[in-house]
Amino acid sequence: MLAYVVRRLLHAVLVVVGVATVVFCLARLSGDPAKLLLPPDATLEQLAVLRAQLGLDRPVWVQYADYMASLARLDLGESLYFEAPVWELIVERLPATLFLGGAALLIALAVAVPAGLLAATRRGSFVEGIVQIGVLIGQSTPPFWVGIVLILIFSVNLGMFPTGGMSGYASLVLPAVTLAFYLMAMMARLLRSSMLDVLHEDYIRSARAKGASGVAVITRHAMRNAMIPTVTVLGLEIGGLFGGAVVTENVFAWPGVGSLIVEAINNRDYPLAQGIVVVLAVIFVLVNLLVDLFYSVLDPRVAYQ
Amino acid sequence: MTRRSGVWGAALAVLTALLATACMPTPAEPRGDDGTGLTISQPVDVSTLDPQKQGTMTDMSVLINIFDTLTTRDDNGELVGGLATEWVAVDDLTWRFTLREGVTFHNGEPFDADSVVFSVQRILDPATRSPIGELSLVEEVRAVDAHTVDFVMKEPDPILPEKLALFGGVMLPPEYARAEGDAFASSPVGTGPYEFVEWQRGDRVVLEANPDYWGGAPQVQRLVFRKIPNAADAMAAARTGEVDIVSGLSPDAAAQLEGSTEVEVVAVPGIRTFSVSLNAEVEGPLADPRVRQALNHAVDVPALIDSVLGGYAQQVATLLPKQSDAHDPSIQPYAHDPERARQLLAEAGYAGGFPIALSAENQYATVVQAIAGQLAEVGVQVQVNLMDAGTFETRSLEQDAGDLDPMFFYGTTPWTLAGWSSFAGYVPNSATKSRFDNAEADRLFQVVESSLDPAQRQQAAAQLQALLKEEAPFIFLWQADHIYAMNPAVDWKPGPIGLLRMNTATTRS
Repeated sequence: MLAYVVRRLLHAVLVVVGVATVVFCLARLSGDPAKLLLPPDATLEQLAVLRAQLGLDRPVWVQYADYMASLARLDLGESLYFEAPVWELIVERLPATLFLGGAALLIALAVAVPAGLLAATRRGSFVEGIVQIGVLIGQSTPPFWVGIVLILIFSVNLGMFPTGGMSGYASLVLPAVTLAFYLMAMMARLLRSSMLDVLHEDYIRSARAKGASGVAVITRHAMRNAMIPTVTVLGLEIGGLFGGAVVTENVFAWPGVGSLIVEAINNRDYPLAQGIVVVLAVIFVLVNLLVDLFYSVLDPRVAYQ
Repeated sequence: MTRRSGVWGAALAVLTALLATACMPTPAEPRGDDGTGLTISQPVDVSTLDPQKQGTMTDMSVLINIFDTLTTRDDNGELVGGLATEWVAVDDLTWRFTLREGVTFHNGEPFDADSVVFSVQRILDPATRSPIGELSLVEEVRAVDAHTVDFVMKEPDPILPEKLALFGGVMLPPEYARAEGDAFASSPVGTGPYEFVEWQRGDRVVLEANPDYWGGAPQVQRLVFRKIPNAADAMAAARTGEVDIVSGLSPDAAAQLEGSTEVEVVAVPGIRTFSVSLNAEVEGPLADPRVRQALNHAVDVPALIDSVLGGYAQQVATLLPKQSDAHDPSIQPYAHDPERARQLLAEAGYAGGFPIALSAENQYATVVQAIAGQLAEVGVQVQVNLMDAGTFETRSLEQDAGDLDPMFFYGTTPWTLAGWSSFAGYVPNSATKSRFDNAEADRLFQVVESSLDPAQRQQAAAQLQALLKEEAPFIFLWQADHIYAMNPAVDWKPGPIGLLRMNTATTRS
């Protein structure tokens, strides 16, 4: 098991290096940050001076080598736009996004698990129909629309929650629900279909034949097996949560890393944009590693060497 | 064994998520309105609180409350004293400023000639990497005595006092700034009507009234500047009362609020002037002034303003907004006359029209396509190339804006309100983005830039405006209004420049 974890961690490092390289190239294809740091009537001489100051006039491969070396030292550089260390900027804003994502995950689970179970166990019923429609709506509605509609209904008209910003648990509800919308629909659908598959298995029939109650059949025998595909997708969807956070943070003025990366891209702030993507890549890789390890807990047949 | 480990695993996952949620960082201060505060929203985040290291409207709107400048503009747009009370051109290259007495910074440091020398030198110091360019002609600044300062220029600069009404003229406390170093950018101290309290990045800046302000203590005790990037969310916040003033609204967004009782839409004429730059320097239809005049006749500016901009703009005759010191009201804008346009095109040899490309930022898509539609009616087939603001900026900062199309739509803000500001970036042949080569225009611009005789400058500016109308190296369009959504209980008169200066704001509670 330990050997497996170590191998996976080494793979993770390779993945992060690959991500950093891709981001480095993409950022430099998108435009010149020096031009955006100057006033619109700047002269070309001023531009040349600034580029030299920022080290942007060096050959690309020199900038790349420099960047990789600083990553190895765990140094993410300094933001061109904010003139502050990238790491500090990320650490300031990352908790807000992580816990928005955590809340969204909880809400999604709290809704999707019962919904998926009900839909699977009460086939052909009204409840299943509701869940199916809910899933369709959830998977096809864009988050920025969901967010604005929730704001209009619950903030402006009912006055139950603030319209945005981060200022206490009340302000967390609407953004978390918005972010959870797609995830809960997808997970409910996935859980329902894997549950349906499992309920047709022989061991379920044996359990019922032995006299196990309906509840015990589901919780003791069926759930764990049905959860396996769901958990797999969940790990991958963490990336989707980060992506969704970008839109949700914009709609709700939530001061997290999603809105920070949008600003970084608009300002062509290479170091900041690169730094955020690298940090998110590390989180994504670690989460998926945990998910894979969690398998061996869910399914004892799976063992890692 | 297996069941328990399954349950443990699930419990672990849920617990982790719960812990992540429970560790939510909450802001220390209670939010927004407690009756003696105003909450103002802007679409973009503040990048720094060091007034000499920034150049955006967003940053300036916050900082103009914390800092004062040597000169300033009053409600009528007249140049008046700020931290300086008098100024005079001692000779061609020297300006002498007399400083206001009895002013202190928020930390108690006295404001005097040393503060001025320190502040100006800090901008000029390459190590500061200040994007502020207004002081580029300053050779040296000297303290004559505790309350008198001399600015010695490299070349004659007749509008130095106007330039010092902007952030080039912001005054910093020398001792504190030296001690803080880079940390000044996150805990600023100035002489202004509001003092800095806290800044939560990406969320809000909180300011408190300075009771000892030399211009009179402000009525509103507390200012909270919030970042709300989404216009719909900002308007919702205005409707619930979480935000008192929403700034930076587009005409579309403002249209949604018209008729609302909870929120008042306030529009004020701004100075940001929009035009279409025409590349008159390369071979092609645009090299002929008749073609350029035809394009001006083909565009119906008043109709565009009414239909696309919701009425939130005013037509301009050339490049200068009406509030500009050098604006010549006798120059009339081009009349909408498609017949005349077709006639001029025929004279120039383009009776059947011609194809051409136009670059613009994404946010102006609607208005640019409307312009293209009007030009199509006289046979000019415009291909509109839209791009995001960053790409547009990047491409425009090339020699003759070479990476942009022969036509590009842009807006520019003449911050100093002096004629020079409207011409400098785009008219003289030497300017980076200028695509116009005219010896008389260059000569007139020289006079506007360096003559110390105001009457001479005014005359040259008037002649230059007439020349620009005749030569038409631009399609002249409009100056845009600043649009705000305001809580009806707030009494605040926005200025033409569009900065959120709040010291005269009052709330009727």
